[in-house]
Amino acid sequence: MSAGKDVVCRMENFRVYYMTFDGPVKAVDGVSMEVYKEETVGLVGESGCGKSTLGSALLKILPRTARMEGRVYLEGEDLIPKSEKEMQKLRGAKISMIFQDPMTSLNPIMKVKDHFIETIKTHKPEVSEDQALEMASKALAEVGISESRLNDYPFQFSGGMRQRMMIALSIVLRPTLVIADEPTTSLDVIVQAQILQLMKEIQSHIRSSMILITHDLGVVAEMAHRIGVMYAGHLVELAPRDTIYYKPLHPYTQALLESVPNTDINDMELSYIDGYPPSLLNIGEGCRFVDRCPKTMKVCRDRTPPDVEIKEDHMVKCWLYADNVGEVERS
Amino acid sequence: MERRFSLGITGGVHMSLKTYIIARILLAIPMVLILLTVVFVIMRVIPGDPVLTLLGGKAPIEVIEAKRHELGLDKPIIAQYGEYLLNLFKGDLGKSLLTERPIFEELRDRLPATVELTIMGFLIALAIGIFWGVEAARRHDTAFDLSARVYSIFIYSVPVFWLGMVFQLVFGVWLKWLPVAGRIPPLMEPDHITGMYLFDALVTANWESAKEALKHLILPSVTLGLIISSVFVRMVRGNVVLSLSQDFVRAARARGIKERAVIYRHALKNAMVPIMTVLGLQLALLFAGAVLTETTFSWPGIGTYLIQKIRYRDFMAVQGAIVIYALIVVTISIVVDVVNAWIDPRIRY
Amino acid sequence: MAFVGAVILIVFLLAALFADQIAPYDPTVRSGRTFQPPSSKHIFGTDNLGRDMFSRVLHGAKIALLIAFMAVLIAAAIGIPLGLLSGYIGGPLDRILTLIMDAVYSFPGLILAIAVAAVLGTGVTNIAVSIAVVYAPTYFRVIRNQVASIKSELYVEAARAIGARNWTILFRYVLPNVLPSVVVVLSMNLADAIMTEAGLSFLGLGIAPPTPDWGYDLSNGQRFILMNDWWMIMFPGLAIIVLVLGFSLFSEGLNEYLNPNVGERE
Repeated sequence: MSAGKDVVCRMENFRVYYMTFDGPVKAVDGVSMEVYKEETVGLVGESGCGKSTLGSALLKILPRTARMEGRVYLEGEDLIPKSEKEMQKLRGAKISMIFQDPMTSLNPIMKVKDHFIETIKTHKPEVSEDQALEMASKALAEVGISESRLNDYPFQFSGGMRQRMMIALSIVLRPTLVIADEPTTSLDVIVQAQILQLMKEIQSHIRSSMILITHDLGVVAEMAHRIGVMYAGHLVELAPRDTIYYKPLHPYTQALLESVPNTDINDMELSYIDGYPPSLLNIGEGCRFVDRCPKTMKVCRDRTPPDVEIKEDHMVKCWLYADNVGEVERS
Repeated sequence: MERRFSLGITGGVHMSLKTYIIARILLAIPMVLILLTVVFVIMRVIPGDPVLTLLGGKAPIEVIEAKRHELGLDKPIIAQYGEYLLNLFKGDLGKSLLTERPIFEELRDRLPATVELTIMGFLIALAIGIFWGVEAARRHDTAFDLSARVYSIFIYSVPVFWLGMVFQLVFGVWLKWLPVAGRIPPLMEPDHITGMYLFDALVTANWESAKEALKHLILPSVTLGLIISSVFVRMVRGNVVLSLSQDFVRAARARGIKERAVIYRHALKNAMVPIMTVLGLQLALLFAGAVLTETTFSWPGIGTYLIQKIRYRDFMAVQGAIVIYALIVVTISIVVDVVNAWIDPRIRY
Repeated sequence: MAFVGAVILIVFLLAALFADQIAPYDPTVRSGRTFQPPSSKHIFGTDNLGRDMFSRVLHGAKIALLIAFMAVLIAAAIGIPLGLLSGYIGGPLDRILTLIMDAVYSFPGLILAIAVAAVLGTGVTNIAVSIAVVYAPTYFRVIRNQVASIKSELYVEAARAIGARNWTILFRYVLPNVLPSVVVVLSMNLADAIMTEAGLSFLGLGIAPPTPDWGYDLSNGQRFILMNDWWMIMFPGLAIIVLVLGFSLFSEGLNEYLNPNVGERE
């Protein structure tokens, strides 16, 4: 835990369960972390690890079957007990989201300017339409779109431009925290690079924090100050970017980095992690990586590993690094 | 769900709404021609000698021949067809065999009644359809949602004329609250502006007349509206459910847009797009229902005119009425397409 | 759902087939006092000519089902072959036929039936034809669209490659794949046909008296509505509702069974 840095968002034992007839699906199960001012935290993991659920849960825009427990503080206020009305005031203004697919995330029959005016006037009803238009123009300029496009419809934009518009929409009211959920996944590689660059600039320009959710380690290497690795609903490691890439401690993180193909001629084999993540329905105690981990111990199957603080800023959820494991439990 | 006259022919050229309207009207011309031809074929070419039925089988040959000549029925079919089209173009629908009055005039006098009934019925159906459909979509998969689906299947199976009669029984005969026939008591008509009594009365501040007009209008329009609403509830519900599951709805919520606005401005408006493409067909149902409703309530519109003229074997008038229906149908489909283009700008591009 | 529909349909079918045996009285002659509300002797009451309503409703099922089936069969007999041809051959023939069928399809059905019935006159066959004209385009469209899309499928290409003649291709390959969608349409059409027939009779353009017909009975009931003859209105009306409901439920259920949808349709 870094002293002296302002915390924008703090999660304490955050849990998100989807309630089904057969029992709860524990999509996010006990995540504790902090996001500091003006930093980007990358949240990586494979499909189904819970990272997207976590992002949407922070905005509380999950379907009705989702239950949230624990504590989530945004600038000191706990979001969990907040009502829908209170959340509406925060969404878009204090915490916003950039969605994955810009093709479908914009209302096809609404003009660009109306997207902005609607958002602005919802949160600041005192603003006049002209003022709102000005704010929209400025926001578009910040992402590199000319204000002449205000009267156009989203389908007249290319994919990259639409994503830029999404970004503009999500920062027009200067939120404190922006959640980017796979923002470049549906874009081609060149556009991807542009958008990432843009997001970096914007973020530092408006001085907000960002949680960048992605499965792409390359994307996160560009953007993130710290990286959190998720697996099967658990946050298994959280550390500064370089630490994750060069000195990962959790076996999953290590395996993940191993499996990134490199262009080294001498290393032609593709390595991968054998097996599949466990089903999250009614899942019980124990480390969730246990079936695929090369370094398991007896305790790993029985008890869920604690969040171990290696040093300030580096957390690993793994028994290998815990102090209080007796000899017997190490097999 | 195909769009009959897709304006994809423009090939991505940006069109303003005005241009679209003109293009749409031009495309309607072949449609009109086809319908008019179909009417002609049905009335003239299908077996059955109209003159014989008109004069009765026992009239002397000379009278029959004379009548035939008078009506131009002894000319070759192609010539008759040409004359028919030419007359229509001039707005001449011929003269009623019975009353000798120009059919155009007779229909013109009756049109406002049908329009008034149809519009009211449509508005009622729309109101029910939207409110129930949207609420059912929001409460997807609950008992409320089920009730909406049950309602629409059930009401669809109810004959509109039977429902009308039930209303007449309950509200007219048992409770005696409302009249069961006609548009307005004699001598209470308001000054003629559009011919639609309720509208005219309100516009001329003739409250007595308005009250009477409304009393007569309620049962028929509610009957018609209720039956048609079965289709609307289903359409709205289905499409709003789909719409609500779209990403942009979620994205709008993520920007803190109020739920009401999300439902109506985002989900419903987008749902209207696929609804509009089939709306034209549903309006055809509306007109069919209107004919039955008019007959049930002795409402003096084009529907009752048609049925009466059939009974009197006035085939010119029957033809005229069918032609008017065809023209109304084409006009409505143009209007629907234009409104659709207005709502969904993608169509114009 | 389909089950409930099927049950209703079977009940009505049996009623229609065995109307002569089940009906307590001859529906076309007077069998009691006029305008009697339901009683133990006449469970649905009697009409203005003293005829037993229950017998009339039972026999009415016969006429309704007969005309509906005839109409739908004629419509299919016209629409399906034309659709097959049009979809398969394509070109200008297809465009013209489609345009004509679309025009007819968009026209209010009942009004079209009225026009044709006005010209043809009464009689079971004539009424059936009048109604058939309304529904033929439906079959045309469904078949034509399916054929047009199947036409380019590989197995048709393959058939052509081994030298099969067009007729063979049409009947052995295309038709069987296209028929399932017709079945659902058929059921819905039957529901509509019953409604349309009742409507025509109500307007006086349908089956002539004294043949028992639900639509006719309803128009008859309306003549005396001021005398509060509710039973003359209720029972034929309920018969129509239940039978149409039966067909609707059956076709809905069938549709869900044949085309299961995750989520919603429409």
